[in-house]
Amino acid sequence: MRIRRRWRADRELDRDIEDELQFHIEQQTAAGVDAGLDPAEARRQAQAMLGGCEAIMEECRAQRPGAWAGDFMRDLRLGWRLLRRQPGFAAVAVITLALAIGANTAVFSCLDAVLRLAPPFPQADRIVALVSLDAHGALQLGNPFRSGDFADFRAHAAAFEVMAGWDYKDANLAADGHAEHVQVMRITQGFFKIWGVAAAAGRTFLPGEITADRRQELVLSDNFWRGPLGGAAVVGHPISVDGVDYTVIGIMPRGFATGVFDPDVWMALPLTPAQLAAHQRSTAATLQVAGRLRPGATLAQAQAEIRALSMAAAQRYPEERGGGGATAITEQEAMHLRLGASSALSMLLGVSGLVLLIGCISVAALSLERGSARRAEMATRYALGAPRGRLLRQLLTESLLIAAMAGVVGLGLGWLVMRWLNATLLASASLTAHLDARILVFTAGVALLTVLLSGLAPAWHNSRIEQLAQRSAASRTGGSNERLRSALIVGEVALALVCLVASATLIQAIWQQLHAPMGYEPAGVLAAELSLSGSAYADAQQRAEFESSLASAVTTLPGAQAAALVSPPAMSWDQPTVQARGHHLHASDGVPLFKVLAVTSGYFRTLRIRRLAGRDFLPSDVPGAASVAIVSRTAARRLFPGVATPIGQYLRIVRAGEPAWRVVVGEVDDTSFYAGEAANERVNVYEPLVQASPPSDLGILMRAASGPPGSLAPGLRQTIQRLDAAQPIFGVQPLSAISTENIDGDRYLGDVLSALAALVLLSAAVGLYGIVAYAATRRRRESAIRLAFGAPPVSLTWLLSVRGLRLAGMGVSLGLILAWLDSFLLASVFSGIATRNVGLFAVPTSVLLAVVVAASYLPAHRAARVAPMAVLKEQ
Amino acid sequence: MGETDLDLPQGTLELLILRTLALGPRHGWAITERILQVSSAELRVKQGSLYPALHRMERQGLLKAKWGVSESNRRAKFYDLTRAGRARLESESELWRRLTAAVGQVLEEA
Repeated sequence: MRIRRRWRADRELDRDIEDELQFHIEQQTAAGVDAGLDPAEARRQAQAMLGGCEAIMEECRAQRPGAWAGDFMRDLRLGWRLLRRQPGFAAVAVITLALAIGANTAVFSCLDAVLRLAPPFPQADRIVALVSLDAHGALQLGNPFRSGDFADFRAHAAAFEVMAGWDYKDANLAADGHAEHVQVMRITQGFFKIWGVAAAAGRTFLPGEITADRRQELVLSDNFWRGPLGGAAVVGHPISVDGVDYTVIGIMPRGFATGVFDPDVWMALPLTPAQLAAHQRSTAATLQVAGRLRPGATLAQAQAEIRALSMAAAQRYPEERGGGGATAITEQEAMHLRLGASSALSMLLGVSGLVLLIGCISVAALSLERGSARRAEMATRYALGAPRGRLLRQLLTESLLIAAMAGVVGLGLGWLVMRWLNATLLASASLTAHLDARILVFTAGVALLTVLLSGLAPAWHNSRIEQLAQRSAASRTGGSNERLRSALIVGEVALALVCLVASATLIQAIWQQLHAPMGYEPAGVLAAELSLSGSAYADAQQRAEFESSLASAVTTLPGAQAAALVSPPAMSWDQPTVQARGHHLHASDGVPLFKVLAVTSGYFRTLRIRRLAGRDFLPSDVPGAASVAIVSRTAARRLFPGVATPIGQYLRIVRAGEPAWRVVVGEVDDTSFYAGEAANERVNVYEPLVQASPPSDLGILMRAASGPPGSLAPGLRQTIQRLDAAQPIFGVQPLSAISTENIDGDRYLGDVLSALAALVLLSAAVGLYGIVAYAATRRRRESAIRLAFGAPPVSLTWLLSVRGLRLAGMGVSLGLILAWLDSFLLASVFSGIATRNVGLFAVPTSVLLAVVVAASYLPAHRAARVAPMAVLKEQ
Repeated sequence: MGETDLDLPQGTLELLILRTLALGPRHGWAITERILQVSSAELRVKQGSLYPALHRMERQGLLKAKWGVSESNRRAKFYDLTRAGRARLESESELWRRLTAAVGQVLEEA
């Protein structure tokens, strides 16, 4: 409102000055006529004496308070009129910049969400997580500690105020007459003290409560209490878990530990004295460990203590764990490491930054071209006395106008992309990006940056009127602004190539992950889980009977081509040590982590895992008969090096209650359950389910004869209902959903990168087109003369585009060098990806060259088809 | 006309405008004419710098402007001194006299 009023006032004042000057000229003319001059001559002299009206008006305006604001509004109005007169230019410039700004806004909002991720606890900087190290000192997140190690840390690490451990287990909770599967977090003394959060209702465990004789209490999560329990008043009431009655003592507040852990139920984990002394896997409990630092203690102290204590244990038990000891990191750092997205997002921000730069160069090139069309206007204003600074300011104001429009459109685009990223890339990390003030400031900053990047060079160049005037003749054959244009072309092409090669490298790495052979066919298979942890299955005989009837029921289910039971369920596994009779595993090779899977005989058929030698498990492989095992190809090579076939060899799974030796009866192909898993991790040992130590969790796998695997789910649920109505079934989903869920994020990352790469090509094409079109416009007269003298249009097209092509060639060379250097950066950030094969450079280079050729050819082609006489008559 | 114009030293134009307007309101063209006349056609105010100076002085509060009707019956902008303008005229005139006297003395003695 104020601006409008001021704008109108300024216009009136301008009219007043004009009027005043007009009056002056009239008076002077009248005086001239009185002195005997011809009226026309008198008027000419009067005007000459006064000088340039525009310059005087300019100076008078400058005397006004806040004169710059009036100038600015005037420039804006003029810029707006000019843009409306050139809607093509305006649209291309705004869209090019808006896409780049939108990309940056979206990527920045995601990065911002990741960087602002913090543990939701009071004084969270005092909370540290204990993490194992491998032999090379690299952090091994998630590798649990032995209960003996935990006891050592808790007893001897003085930097901690409190330290606690926990593990997870699945259980069945009886609620409202039906069974509900729950994830239980079993915790040691002091667990809730670490996080510093009290229960929202009731209380948590009191000191001294977590002992073997007082364990029948539990704490509920807000989610589980509101969801399956319907928010009923349950504190103080009994709840049955796996057939045992527990008393609900408290409910944690909503959002407690969001992003850190998310169980349904907390229960006490009383460790026996034997477990607290055990450092070996066969006898120890395994725990995740965290603690809160004592007031005054530093993280460095905690790290030194944990290192020293863990190294002592590592020397006593070298075959356990990675052998590199352990360290302490802040929970904040642990969160970010678990997420592992920062480097990918930083890289995305880098690429989108380059996209912005390329977009700015392109718009700069277009502005140059447009400037040539406006030379007459600039020259006229200069001649009327507008100082160069004013012209420069006007041109920059026009850039600002474009950038502001691009910023608004870009913000909208960025918001849409952000919503998509929230639903895809960030959803897999339970993060949400928001459009807040920080993002708005960022976008505004980016838009202002585009003004400088895209507007300054052409404005500087286009406002050099006196030189333009001098050069107007010379420029038809070249001119001295060649250097700016050349730099724009070379820089733009080089940057575009760097972007494309980096994107191609990462897209290829992601593609390879998605399409790596997995050794089995997850498509068409339905997975489900059961938890047999209740007292109903404490008896081994009952369990075996249930398993046997379940196995035959699912195998004969209509629509199922093949079915099997597996324990642990799909995507989890037991990792005990495996020994081979007569062979010694060399520690120098690194001890492989064996995955031991107890399966029924249909397992390999259901998953379509290829059998390489020997036989499948048979109904005759029962507890009383000879103990048998099947090994994967890599397991056979690692366990029995130098042996032609593993069939007939003996191995032992090191754990309690295990028979002496198992004879290997079969060899199957390697499988990687997670997409993108490294080959040397595919070290599987299979045992018949009936010969395995009783597992608590059971997976069901069924291959559908036809149609989607989900069609088997109702039949499966009915079967379970018939066998044991109190048994909840959970995790019913297609196996393919589980096997690729770990790379869902990467897949979306690939989509984002592809979009950015397309944006790079688009921006680069716009810029090159602009520059070549500019050059062609400047050579219109020359072209017309050549045509008039009979030059064939084809050779003229070549003449007009060859320079752009040569510069683009230089840009490609420079870009290849930069991309080569960049590949080292990529290799260091993303370990294990192929960065320097020929295809990664050749494919983006040829695509870019094709775009370059098209963007150079089209404007040259158009310019070479001018009507010569029309052009020559223009001047 | 014809002879070389005298260039006005910095700040002198302002003094001349103040002095000219001390006799009563005038419009821009009349100011140049008056100065030309009184200075025996020695001082020709650069018309291009007159109007910016008038606008500047108006903004500084030394002058006030009013739209009126000229002797030729046309709308014209008349400038007049404000109280501050009068005060400025006195102090500036005094300074000018001291300056010219001093400069004159030096020129004669040296």
